[in-house]
Amino acid sequence: MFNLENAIAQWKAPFVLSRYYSSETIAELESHLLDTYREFAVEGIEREDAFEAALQRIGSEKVLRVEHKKEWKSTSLLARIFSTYRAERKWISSDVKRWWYGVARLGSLGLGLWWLPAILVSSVTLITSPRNYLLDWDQWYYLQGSPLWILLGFSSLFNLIPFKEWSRSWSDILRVIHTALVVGTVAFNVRIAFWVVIVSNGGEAFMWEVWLCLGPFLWLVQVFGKRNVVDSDYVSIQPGALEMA
Amino acid sequence: MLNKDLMAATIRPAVLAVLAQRESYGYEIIKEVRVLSNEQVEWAEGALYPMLHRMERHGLIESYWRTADNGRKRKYYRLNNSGQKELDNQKAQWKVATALLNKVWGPEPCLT
Repeated sequence: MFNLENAIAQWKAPFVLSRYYSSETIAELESHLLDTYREFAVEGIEREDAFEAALQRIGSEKVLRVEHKKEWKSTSLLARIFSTYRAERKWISSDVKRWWYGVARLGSLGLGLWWLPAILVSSVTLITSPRNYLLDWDQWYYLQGSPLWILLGFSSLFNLIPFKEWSRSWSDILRVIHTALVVGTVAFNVRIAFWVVIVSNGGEAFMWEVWLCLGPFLWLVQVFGKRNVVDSDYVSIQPGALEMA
Repeated sequence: MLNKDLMAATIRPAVLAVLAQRESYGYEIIKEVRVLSNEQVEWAEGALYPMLHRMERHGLIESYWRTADNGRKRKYYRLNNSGQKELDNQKAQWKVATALLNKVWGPEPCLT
């Protein structure tokens, strides 16, 4: 049995989850779809066929994305960043507590924005003026720590980048490797020196490890906490929309 | 049927011309363009909206939401002075282009 509300929710889901469409644009497209649907329904076409014909006419998300993406790209950088994080949040299942995801995301953004430039500047300084770093310390100290340094750099980057649906792209593969490295590093540290780390470094190293875990944690929530695309909150049929249908 | 490039060039002045007659919303604009073109303009209708938003961003048209009697909300667009100037400019350019093509191709043969 054809259900118009469900059909609209199914059609709308990829628009809602994409960063290229504002809620206002989606409302416009939905209104257009309903007008077209009613046009066919009034002609006496079966409801399901009328909806299919309306879909054909308005175009799928994949088809419309080309033009909408162009328009999205011409908006301000701030607006693009905002829409990207807003779309990312929508991927999260409603079962997952949104507030703690929000806290984790804000934390990862704050730490990423703080540490990424710091690591970049430090790395450049270390490469260009190694003497500054080697005056009081054994040179092997930094060489031994370089994998962790790289890992921290990657974490900073991944903590900043918003995630999308698991798509098996190169960025997803990098994230899998990165997550494995982070989990391995943290597990290794916890096994050998959990108390030493907390006591001797006053919790600083522990905080670093929490920070390392934030990016992979957010990514894993994205991949495994993906919401059902026909969640009822996607349906927002306006009053009177179905009157003539 | 118009090809993609020609349609892209035509649709903008066509939309401006429709809006010059009266304020309207996306579905109605498309419907009017389709009727006026004798169904020769066929495209993914949802692609109209980025163009409308672009024209709005460029200050050629303005928009507002209106609720119909049946409670349906629609976003209406209307032409402003800049849009009218742009339409006049487009008309002048198309006149030159069509005059050129008419001269090159000559008059249509008429057997009557």
